[in-house]
Amino acid sequence: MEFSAGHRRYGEHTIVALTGDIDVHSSQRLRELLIELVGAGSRRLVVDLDQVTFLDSTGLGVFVGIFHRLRAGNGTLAIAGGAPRVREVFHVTQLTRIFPLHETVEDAVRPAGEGVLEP
Amino acid sequence: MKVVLEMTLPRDAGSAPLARHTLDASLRGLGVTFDIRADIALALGEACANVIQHARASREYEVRAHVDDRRCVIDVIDGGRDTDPVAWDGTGAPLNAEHGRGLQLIQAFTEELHIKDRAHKNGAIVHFEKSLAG
Repeated sequence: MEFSAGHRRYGEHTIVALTGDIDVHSSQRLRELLIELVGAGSRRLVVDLDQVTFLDSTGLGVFVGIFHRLRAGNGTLAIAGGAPRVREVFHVTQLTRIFPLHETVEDAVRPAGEGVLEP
Repeated sequence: MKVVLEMTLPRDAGSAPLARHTLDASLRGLGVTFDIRADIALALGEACANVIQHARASREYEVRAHVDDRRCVIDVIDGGRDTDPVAWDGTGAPLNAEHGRGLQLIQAFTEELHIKDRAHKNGAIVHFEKSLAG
């Protein structure tokens, strides 16, 4: 399924809703979009994976890169939603140890639901 | 029944979704379940991404899939790399790294992952298999 993305502000959060396949073909566009949002001042990104149909290691690499970029400016990155298949790649690669994986966007934007980004 | 699918693909980023979707459509037609198809699609996507990103000496690469009632056996064959051959020690990437998780994912979701140099030719073969028994 063709990749697309949209974003909206929710309080101090920026919620980025992704759709379709995130892979070696689309990950560069994802990277550019997230870098643009961070460059424009977004410091609390929540990536909504509910409509993502495929996610591979190149997509994971984009999230790790953005995580570093945000952390350098005291920002946060949270991942929310997603089909079991999509969520599983975060667990297998143990990336859940560096950024939180929430069931829903609502969980991610709840003050207590925010992970503390430790090195 | 046996099905053999061979694709010769240009080494560009668009070839990865093309290969995934082509194999997935065949497997769906053969009645393979969603979860198993998803595992195969992820592993194939990772193997293709690896070639696209690293096999800079290749203009094209091949995907060969052999499917029977029990297994799907896949080889992804490139024509040469300008750096080291596919090197992997069986562990995952460092947690903070942006690259290096592809082979870890292939191993997690399929079986019999082997990476070998091609005999008498430049390039490497990434081989993996998936039981279709569920």
